[in-house]
Amino acid sequence: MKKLSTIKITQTAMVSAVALVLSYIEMSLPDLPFVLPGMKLGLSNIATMFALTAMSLPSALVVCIVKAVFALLMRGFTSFLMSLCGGLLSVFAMYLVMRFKHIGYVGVGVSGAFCHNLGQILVAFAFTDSTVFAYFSVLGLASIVTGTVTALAVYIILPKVLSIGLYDS
Amino acid sequence: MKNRERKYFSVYDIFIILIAVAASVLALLSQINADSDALNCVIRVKGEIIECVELSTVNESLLIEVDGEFPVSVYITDYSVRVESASCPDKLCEHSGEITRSGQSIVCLPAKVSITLESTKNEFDAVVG
Repeated sequence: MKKLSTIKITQTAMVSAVALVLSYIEMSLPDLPFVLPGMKLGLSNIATMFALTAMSLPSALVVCIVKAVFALLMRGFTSFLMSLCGGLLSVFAMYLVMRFKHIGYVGVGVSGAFCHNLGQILVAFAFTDSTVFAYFSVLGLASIVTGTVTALAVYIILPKVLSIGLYDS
Repeated sequence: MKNRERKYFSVYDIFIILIAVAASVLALLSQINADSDALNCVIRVKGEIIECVELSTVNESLLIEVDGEFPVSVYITDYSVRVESASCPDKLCEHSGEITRSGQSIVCLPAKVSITLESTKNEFDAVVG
């Protein structure tokens, strides 16, 4: 195992902080009239996807856990479980997809957003019954849009941040 | 850095999007089939279940005789339930007509028979709150 350097810890902490701010902004946004309750843009996925592309798998996992703890403090235990399962599943999915060099950012972003929803729905399923899968179909289709937006954000942000030299490890 | 050469969008991404669409549609289809035929007709005498019939399994119609102090015959079709005839004096259950939706019930008090339609999937039409 590689040595845990100070710069890595700091980088992860910074991205985690960004993730929390994005989560908070998203929580404050009013529910749009045409979307179902609980349907979100997934802004904080930008942070996890950034952590995965600019840094490493462990960093992205840490960002997820920090996000989940934030959900626990702000919205309670159910949100914690949903955030954690969704986040971890999404990070692993994006990690697997990124093994393939030919897949673009959109592919990575969509698979991340889709698996985030999948993880959350699985938790919801554990608490209720299989009717949540009807809801999943809407979320799944929405994740194509949100994943593309996430990918676009990372695609724009990544070169700019890397050019600073901070994250080029 | 391995991500430098990654494109924003490549043709392979279309496959991922198609998989996501397919999975979503599959999830929807599985629920459409499961939801529509989940009505159970539950017949109770003195609170004890003596008969439970899933409406979707009924071929055209079914007549169930409920014995007891006042025999009641229950007529079940694949979408509705009604009391065909009752031997009790007031015949209120007979006049209740047919029930078709989850949560509805017919009660024959003299015979101590209750007939309810229960959904195995959804206990409620909607939850507000």
